[in-house]
Amino acid sequence: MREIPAELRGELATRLVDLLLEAKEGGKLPSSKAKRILQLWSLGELMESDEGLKLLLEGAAAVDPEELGGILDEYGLEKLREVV
Amino acid sequence: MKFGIEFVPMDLYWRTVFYTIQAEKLGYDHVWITDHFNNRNVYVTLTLIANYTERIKLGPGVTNPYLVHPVMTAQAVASLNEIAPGRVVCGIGAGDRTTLEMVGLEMKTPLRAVREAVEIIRRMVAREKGGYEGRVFRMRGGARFNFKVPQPIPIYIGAQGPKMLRLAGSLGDGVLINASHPDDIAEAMKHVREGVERAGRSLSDIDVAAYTSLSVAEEEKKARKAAIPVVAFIVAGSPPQILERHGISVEAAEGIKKALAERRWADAFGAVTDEMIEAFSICGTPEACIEKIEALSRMGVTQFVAGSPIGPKVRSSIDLFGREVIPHFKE
Repeated sequence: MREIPAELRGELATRLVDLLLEAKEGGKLPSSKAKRILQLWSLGELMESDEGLKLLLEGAAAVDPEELGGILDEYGLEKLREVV
Repeated sequence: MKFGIEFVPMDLYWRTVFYTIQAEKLGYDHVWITDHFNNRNVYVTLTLIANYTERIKLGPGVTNPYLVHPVMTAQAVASLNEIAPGRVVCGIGAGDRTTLEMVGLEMKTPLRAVREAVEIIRRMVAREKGGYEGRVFRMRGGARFNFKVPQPIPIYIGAQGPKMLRLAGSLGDGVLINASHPDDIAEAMKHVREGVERAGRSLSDIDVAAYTSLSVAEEEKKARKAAIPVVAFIVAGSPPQILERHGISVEAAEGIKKALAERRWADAFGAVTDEMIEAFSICGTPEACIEKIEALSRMGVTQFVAGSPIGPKVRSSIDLFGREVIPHFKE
């Protein structure tokens, strides 16, 4: 998570949320992750916390890895792409 | 003016809950979840919503007394009220004839069925001991919950035709008017008022909700494009008198209906005109939506329900509406 510059976090989180909400294979998001995402979202901690961003990245990798790869490349986060 | 939002649980449960949390943060007052056997279960969805929200009011919008017996509807909303105390409402209507017929159910005496269902739900929530002898539903004395419900649950009646609108005016805590255009709302309000007056009530006793089809976007063109599929289905299901009120030919509607039945989507959607979009949706930029909602407010509408499709991208449109339209009416 430290790899992601602070100024990119909000925008990246929004892109990942949209990916999750619009992915055709959204059903591939594990129920446990979906519930934690909802919990953090309701607490206002999804977009700002390390845990939230990590969950969004993992969720995006589960539902549309190709699209996620494109987003990470766009932000110059190639290292993170390899990890995810 | 209060603001509600409607979701059809066709989509994954967590997405519906996500959008509802978003709506709550933005100041929406109600969330209504539709009830059709071929979508995800309405009460499972509502239970999850109750679990992740704190303020927004929630309920089925709408259930019907044919597919679900009113004692079970009463049980479901009363149980939900334990998770979201004081936030539960119950929308009930006659249902959709085509959907009911798919599972072998006939929509017999809809007015009577809805009236009796409302009475039974109220009796069950109040834990009344006496039996109930209706023409559609009967209950023996002593048929009641083994648990208490601390407060009454407001019942909204979903209505479109004159008789159901009058029933809603006379019996409901609220009415969900299935229309978007001021002319349709004006016509509906006449009947709601008649019902209210017959029952010796005042219009201010009930929450008058316009259950609309909304499509909002920064660009008019994008909003219109998103509205087309929903409008096609509304046109196909509208009775001739409503089509005529908006200058839409029955033949054009029949053509869309046939194309939809044959899954010729391009033909169906291609036949939707600007006039149809104008008649059956609240569509456009936030400024255009404000103007249209103000017109509904002047007619006596007290709750605006943002129904499908909401916009080209649901999350962005919920946000746009919440940031630019709702504050105009709340501040």
